[in-house]
Amino acid sequence: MGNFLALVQNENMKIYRRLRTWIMFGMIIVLPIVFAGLIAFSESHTGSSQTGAWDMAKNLSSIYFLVSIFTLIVAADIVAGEFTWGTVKLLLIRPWSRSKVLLSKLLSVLLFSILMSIVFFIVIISVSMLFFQHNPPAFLELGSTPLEQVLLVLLYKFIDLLVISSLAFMISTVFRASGIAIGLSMFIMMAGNTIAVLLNPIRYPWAKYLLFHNMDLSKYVTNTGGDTSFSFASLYEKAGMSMGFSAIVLAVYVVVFLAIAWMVFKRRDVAA
Amino acid sequence: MSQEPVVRLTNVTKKIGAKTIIDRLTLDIPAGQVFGFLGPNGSGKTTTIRMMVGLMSITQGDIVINGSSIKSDFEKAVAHVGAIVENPEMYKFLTGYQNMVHYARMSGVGKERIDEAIALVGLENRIHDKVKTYSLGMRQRLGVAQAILQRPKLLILDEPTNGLDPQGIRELRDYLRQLTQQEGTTVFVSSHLLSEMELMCDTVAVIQGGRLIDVRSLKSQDAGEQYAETGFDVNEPERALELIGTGRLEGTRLIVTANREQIADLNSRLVSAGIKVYGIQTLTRSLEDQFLEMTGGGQIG
Repeated sequence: MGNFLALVQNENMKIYRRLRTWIMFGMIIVLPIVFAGLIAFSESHTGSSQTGAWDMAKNLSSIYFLVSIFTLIVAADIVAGEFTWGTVKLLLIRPWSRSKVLLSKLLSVLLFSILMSIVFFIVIISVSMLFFQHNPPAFLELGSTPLEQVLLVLLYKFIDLLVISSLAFMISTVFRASGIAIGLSMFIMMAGNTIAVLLNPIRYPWAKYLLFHNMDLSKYVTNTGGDTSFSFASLYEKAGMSMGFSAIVLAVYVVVFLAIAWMVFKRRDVAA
Repeated sequence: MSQEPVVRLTNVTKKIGAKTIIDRLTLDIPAGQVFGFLGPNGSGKTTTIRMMVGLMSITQGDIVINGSSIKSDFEKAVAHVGAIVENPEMYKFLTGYQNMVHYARMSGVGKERIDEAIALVGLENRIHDKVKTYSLGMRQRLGVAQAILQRPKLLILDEPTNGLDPQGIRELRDYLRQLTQQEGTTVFVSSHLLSEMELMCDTVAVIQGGRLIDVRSLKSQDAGEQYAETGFDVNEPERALELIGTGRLEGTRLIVTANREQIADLNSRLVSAGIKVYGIQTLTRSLEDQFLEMTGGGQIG
């Protein structure tokens, strides 16, 4: 009965045949161009110090949060949407087990996030190289090239994206409503830092297992600048946390989120 | 017709919380028939259909489709089934054709069969338009097209005439007939529209409050051999009763049970005895009357 790739192909069709998806791609292409254009324009007028291309690329990487939000929206909608549209009744009566249907959806979200990250990466690198001078980067650390630096920044952000998207995917599957999934995951993404400050892992030892404290792995490496008055890295080290620790905690969270989604989806009575 | 049934429901029970929605339903659906599933709103028709296609779990009992259990061998069992459960919901942002491709990929069906199915429901002209521009009738047609895509042995239609105009209903009826006769498909149709079922089905199962009340064949008897209650509207009912010797009186009418030939004979006897016959009517109760009698009127189960 066909092969599994046909299911992934179907899910991709349902993602890329929607206008929404193309608006998302449009935004991650246009926004870095507008940002970089504005900075280049103001620099050329004021004649202030010229920003180097790689520094610009690193600055532009902060727009990656858009990629996270868009992936989160797709993840939140891919299961809930079928319930909202009522199409789930026709989708689940095919000779494919529910586990395989869910897996095809998960893979499609993953492919979407990878594609979007690649497009984003190409856009910020080409925009920076086009608009800015090829000065030696200010942030360069010993033993790494500027390309590696930018890629590393994006990798840490991509890991956060995976965690948040699995959360959105789980909420979407459990509640069958994309609104609550988008809202809740966005809240956790945005409010994470505030909650992290409130629940200090040194005061409350259990708090170091919280999702918020373990997101953003880059905090363990950005102690090079030393200009921030309050270093998160040292605080986390005092609490007995390290990059390896956080990576494992995040992995456990992702596995738990996906396991819950799978168990709920497999057993659910479809009455919508 | 006397082969293994396509679907066998054995003691199927569905409980949600403490409430029993379906109570030990046992039913065989013979191959090659249009099988009606009749019941008032809330009687458990849709729940039963959802269990048959694996959308809902079965609390107790089992449903076997073409030899495979939907519980333990879902992928194999459901491969023989095409269905529309309630309204045919489609991906509105896709065209009709893309919707068909979507389901065709899942069943491993080729392009020719997609075109064939589209042609069968007469949707060729609009198939490349987005589904959001479709009328309800067109979505119904697309729903039927996706259901017959993989040439299922069993076609399950939940309230298929909902939202169809009389012409659409007529076409669907003819089409279902054609499917059973030419492709040997078994069709399982649920409805609360009794008159519709009378026209469409070979056999009807009546369900109420989650229990199977009756299964009856609608087309088994030859009309000529059928005995029916017949009323003779006459001017002298007492004398007519005396003459015929059986039956009962109801106002000016003499009611007797007779078949076609006997009715003609009785008429000529009455006329030759000088009794005026104003009218002869067959008094078979319609399925509707029988149905209302069985289900006890407007109670929602």
